[in-house]
Amino acid sequence: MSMMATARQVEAPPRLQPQAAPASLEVSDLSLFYGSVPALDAINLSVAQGEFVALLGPSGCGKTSLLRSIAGFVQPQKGAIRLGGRDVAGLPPRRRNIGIMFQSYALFPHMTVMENVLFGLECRGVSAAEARARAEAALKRVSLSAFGDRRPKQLSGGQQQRVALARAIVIEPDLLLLDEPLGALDKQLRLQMQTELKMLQRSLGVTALFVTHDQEEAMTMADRIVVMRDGVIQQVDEPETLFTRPRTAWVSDFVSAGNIVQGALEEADGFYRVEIAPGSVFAAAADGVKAPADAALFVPFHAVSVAPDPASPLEVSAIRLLGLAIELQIAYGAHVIRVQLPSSRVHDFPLGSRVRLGAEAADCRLLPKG
Amino acid sequence: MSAIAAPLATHQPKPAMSRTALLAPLTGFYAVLLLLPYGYMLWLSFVRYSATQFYVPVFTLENYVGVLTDSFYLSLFATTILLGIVVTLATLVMGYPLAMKIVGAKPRTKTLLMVLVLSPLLVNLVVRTYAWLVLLGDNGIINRFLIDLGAISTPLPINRNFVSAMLGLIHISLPLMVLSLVSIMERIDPSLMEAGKSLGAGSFRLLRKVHFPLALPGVGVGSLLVFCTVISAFVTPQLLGGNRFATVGTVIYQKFTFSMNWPLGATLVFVLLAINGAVIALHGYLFRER
Amino acid sequence: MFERGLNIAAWLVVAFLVIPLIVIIGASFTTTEYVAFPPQGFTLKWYEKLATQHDFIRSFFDSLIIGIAATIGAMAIGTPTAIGLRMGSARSQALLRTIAMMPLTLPTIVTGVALLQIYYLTEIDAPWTAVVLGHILVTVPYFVRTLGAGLEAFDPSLVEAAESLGASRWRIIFKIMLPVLAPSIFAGMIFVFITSFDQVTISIFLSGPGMMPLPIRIYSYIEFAIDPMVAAVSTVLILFAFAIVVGLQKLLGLERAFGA
Repeated sequence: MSMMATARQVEAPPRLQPQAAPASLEVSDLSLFYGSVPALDAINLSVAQGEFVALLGPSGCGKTSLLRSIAGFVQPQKGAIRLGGRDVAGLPPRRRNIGIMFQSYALFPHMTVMENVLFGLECRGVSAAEARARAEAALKRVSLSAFGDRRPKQLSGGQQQRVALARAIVIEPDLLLLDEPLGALDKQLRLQMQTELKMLQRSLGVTALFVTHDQEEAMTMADRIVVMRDGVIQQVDEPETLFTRPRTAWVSDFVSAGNIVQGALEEADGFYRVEIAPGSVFAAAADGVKAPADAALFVPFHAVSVAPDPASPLEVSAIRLLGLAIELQIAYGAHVIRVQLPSSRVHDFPLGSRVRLGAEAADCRLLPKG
Repeated sequence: MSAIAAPLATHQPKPAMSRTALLAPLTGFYAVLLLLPYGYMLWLSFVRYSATQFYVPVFTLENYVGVLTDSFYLSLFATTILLGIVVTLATLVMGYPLAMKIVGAKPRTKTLLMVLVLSPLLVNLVVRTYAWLVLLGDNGIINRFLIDLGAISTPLPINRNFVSAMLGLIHISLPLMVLSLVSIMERIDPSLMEAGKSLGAGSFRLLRKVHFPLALPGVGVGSLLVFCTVISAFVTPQLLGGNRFATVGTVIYQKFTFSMNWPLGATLVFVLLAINGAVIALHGYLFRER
Repeated sequence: MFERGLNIAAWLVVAFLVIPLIVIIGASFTTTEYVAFPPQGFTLKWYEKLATQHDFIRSFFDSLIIGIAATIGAMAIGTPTAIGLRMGSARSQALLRTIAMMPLTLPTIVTGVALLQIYYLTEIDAPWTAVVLGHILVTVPYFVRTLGAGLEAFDPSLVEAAESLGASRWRIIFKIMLPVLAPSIFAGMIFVFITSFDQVTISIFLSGPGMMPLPIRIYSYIEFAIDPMVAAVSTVLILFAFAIVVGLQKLLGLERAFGA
């Protein structure tokens, strides 16, 4: 028995190694048609190693189709998918080395937790001893070490999800795909899992792509968000950028970034302005956008200034408590302007009080309708 | 990264075979063992009976005419249909409270009841009918009990007639009715009953105006099942009717084994099928999607 | 009060269902030469007689062999059918399913007679084959229905998960699909076997000399003697059925098994 072998036996149990070689995901000109309907229309996307990217959009936008194309369950008609530099478009799912967390968890009901986690390793011909060690490490990472002998139906929803996660990461995938993984959990568990998932992904350094329709979730977890609509990518940006600089009015509406002020835009000195009521004016620089027909005026919630004005026809129609902030809603015509203020100001503008609204032109932007 | 047209699907998930290929074994099997025999029988019903050579291949309608005008056969159909109606009603009346109980029972009791109801279904018809033979015979358990008790001096006429066949058939069909009823009652939303109670309905009104209408589809399916089973039955009426009580089923049996009158037997077969078909159509009409 | 009445009615109906069977079981132990209930005395002599009754033993094995053959046949035909019935439009599926279930909806006596006639016509003298084929005909729908229910309940994302983890097609079939479908397959097999074992109507027309399935043997025995030995064999069959139902309950849950 050599010294080396003894030394190895004394080492700590093997951990899952963070990704070694730089791998990234590149999707080029990907198009998927069901009949003549395009589910994906010339999608281009680049994800860096270790990034956590969210695919966000309403149902039918193509986010799930994109995920399944990358996974290999559906074959796009056009375009390329490169994973870690290699072209995977022609490969069946089992050769792509991608870990997947399904919405329904898809745990094998007739196998124990441990057998579920071992499955991917068995398929790869990993030796029983090494497989066992790696599986135990994975279960430890998701805090389920003691549950190895249980069956999926004996576990709670949150626990089942962790098993699904362990099973996906134990194979040391080049990419982790998550399909609305937190949908079935109650709010408390959801928030907790968001943090845990993010931390796990960070510590593993694995590239992750996850699908959600919940904009808050995407904001919390993702390094970058891909907003999709009808098979087309609308915007890819970090969460803050999405919030402060949505590319179109639709995106702004979808992520609830701010107000889209309704009303006819008038040109004045290189600015476009809307007056929703005497004294309440919003303006933004033209900035190259084709105005006025195709444009909409965007004002972030926190950028709206409110001042009491007994002469104004606008009044506070609703107040929402949002924890640390409050939101005032002021109706004009058939529309609503929403204003966010620190909650300390909750008594400044009671229901029904008359106010005048405005905003710094620098905070506002002209957006294409989109 | 320039766009490259990817080759189409090198990875195709599952079905390697077409539906036609998958259904071929069944199709072939049914064609030979169902289509062919029934077709042959249909043909048989239109040929003439011959005492010497089973049949003479002459096209004739005399079988159908005979069967549909002869008073013997007409009363045979009437008796059989009456048997069907009586047994169906009896199983409905008996099965309904049992089904209600099963649906409302605690898991333990529910399982026990279901096991008791379903086990007879796995016992063969002969044994299930034999029980009634033993109970209803002149020297059977019921009669001997009553005679020993001194309640009667001669055996009750409860064998080899309509009554014995009816009792046996009720016993055979009851599980089928209960299953159909349980199936539909499980789907009745309990809050509907609670709403009825909160509005002041008494138990009987609740049953009549809320529960029964909601259970109607199951009542329909169960009744259809039981009725068709009863009018087509042969083993039970044969054993419990002896040679004195006849139904369409027992006469068909007789025609093909003893009197060897195949054309007539075949005719009866198709009249029976027609009655079955009419009842199924009636059920379809009554329970059509509105 | 009404509910009380309903409760009593329910138990009375249960009694109606169960008492005749209890009577048989009880009568099988009587010392008398005729069927008596309550049984007079207690003896196992009728069971002893049954154990030495050659024609009954012979029939038991006949039924066993036919049952096994029918099960194999029903599985061979039923498996591709159950898979195929899940393909195509909903409308076509409904229609094909109705056709597949036809042996169940057609009166057994008609099917039995029809088969008999074909054998007369073709003058084929192969009673074993005839009976087995007849049994397969009336049991295939049960297997198709049970397996179909299992396939319906099968979560397709299990296969996708296995694929993504690297499983080959064979591994998916043997390690994922078969184990998960096993209860349905097993229940289907049991249904087919029991239905064949219990089959009377078809067997009556198709069985011949030298081959008499158990129910037919009992039938002919009843026609000229009602001694407690029939009660004994009946008891064995009743208890057997009871055990199977309990087994199905444990394996699959009764709703799934009986397609309720």
